[in-house]
Amino acid sequence: MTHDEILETTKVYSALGQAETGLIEDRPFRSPHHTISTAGLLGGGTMPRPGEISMAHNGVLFLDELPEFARGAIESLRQPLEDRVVTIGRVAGTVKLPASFLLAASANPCPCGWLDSGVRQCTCSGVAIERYRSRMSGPLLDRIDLRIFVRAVALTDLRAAGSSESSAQVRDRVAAARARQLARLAPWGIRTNAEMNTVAQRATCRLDSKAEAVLTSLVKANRTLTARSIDRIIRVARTIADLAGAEHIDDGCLHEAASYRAMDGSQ
Amino acid sequence: LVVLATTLSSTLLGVDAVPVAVEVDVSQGLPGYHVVGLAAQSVKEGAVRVRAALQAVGHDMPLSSVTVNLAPADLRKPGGGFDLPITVAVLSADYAGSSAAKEGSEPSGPSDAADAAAPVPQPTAAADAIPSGRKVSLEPLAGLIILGELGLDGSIRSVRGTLAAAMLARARGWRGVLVPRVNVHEAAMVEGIEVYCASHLAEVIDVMAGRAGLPVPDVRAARARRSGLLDLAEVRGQVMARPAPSLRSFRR
Repeated sequence: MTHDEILETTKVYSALGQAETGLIEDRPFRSPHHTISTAGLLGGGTMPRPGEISMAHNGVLFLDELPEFARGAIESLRQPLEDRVVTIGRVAGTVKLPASFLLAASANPCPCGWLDSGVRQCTCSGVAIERYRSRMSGPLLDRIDLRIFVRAVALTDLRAAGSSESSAQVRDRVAAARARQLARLAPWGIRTNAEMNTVAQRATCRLDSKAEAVLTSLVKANRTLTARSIDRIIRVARTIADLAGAEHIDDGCLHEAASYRAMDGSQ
Repeated sequence: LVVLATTLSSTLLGVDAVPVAVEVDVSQGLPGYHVVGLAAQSVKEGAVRVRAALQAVGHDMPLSSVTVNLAPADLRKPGGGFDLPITVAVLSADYAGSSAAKEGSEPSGPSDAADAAAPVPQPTAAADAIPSGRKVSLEPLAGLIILGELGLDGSIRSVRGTLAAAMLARARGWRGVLVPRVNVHEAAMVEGIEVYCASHLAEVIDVMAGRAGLPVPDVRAARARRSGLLDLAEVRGQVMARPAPSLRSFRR
């Protein structure tokens, strides 16, 4: 993390009395249990104290088994996901807490967990699956840019000796892309693509003509794409281009970005 | 006879610090201790800690009417962090009061009146063996945001939000902060201000009495907390999930 980020994140832990053991120099990773209350997640109390999303500031908030969380708790993430701060109103006045976090979440495809597994038959009724899925509302899912269906791992894969790409290798790639973003977005006073507002996005996310055509066909093929989805697809494509070291967003980036959103409606 | 001493402190609003002026008035009247300014229960209870901590370092709570005002009056103030700024202000006001009284050759305190009416337990007359009103001054602490919770033995315990307090001092162009030693590495992250720390009330009183300088912290290389995460290379299978983590690091 940069010095400013360390300062911001440590400030949250300092306010909670949890910075005595040391400064927060690694990006925080928070994974609250699904029984957490809305106040525990957002922060609360008569004198609001930071919650899990503020403790994940400049880091990752991981919600394991997302549909098991209280509906109010996960829906309350909408505003902080957009604004990167959470505004808590109390009789005494409003308090703004930092909440610039990356949301990662996992869910089963259905209550029994075997739907589409290709291993075992799902035993859930259609209604049960519907109820389970509806716990994650459309507007919330709309704010999740990368959705991936993960299959069960075969024993042979699990026991395989070969090593895959290490965190260090990925970190180098990510650091290079982040540096590109920082340099490009400096005029807007932001650090990452995720923080871009529409003005910054229009100025920095130029699509080439082929990419523009892809976007048009995507919208034609899927009329349920919201304005927010389109904006977000472009932002993800911008990040993919950054990872590839490319100046402009080409059709390949856009296709890839849209594919991460393709699970719309089917988990 | 009214004597007023003011110190600077802060309280938390969310994760940000807001300044709080701690005013202490020591005046003739029924001995007692009153806190005003929307102090939470933990601040009011501080009276007991302040009294015990003062006795631990050989001072007494003035046998006078002590009024503590925390300004701004409409902001609710929780926490034990006001113990230290209140204590140093009490000492200063008590000294100023007793020296002024000597000059005016008035009795040093309404000691007869120290009976049942007091809202907090008063020390017995035997404690008079230790003279109150030792020569102390708030001058060495001027411009510092003071934070610290007191233990009954006078030790200074950790408080929340010292980093925010240091940031407030810098934003306002104030001199700096005086914080508990256990929290000093937090405050020391902020550059451009003076950061001091203490672990016992006696250290602070030595400073006020001019017997010692402000304790400069030994800011060891800030201890970082390591998270000890596993490596991506440990992931087996899950080909679909693999490209994502590198991308996700942008969606902060």
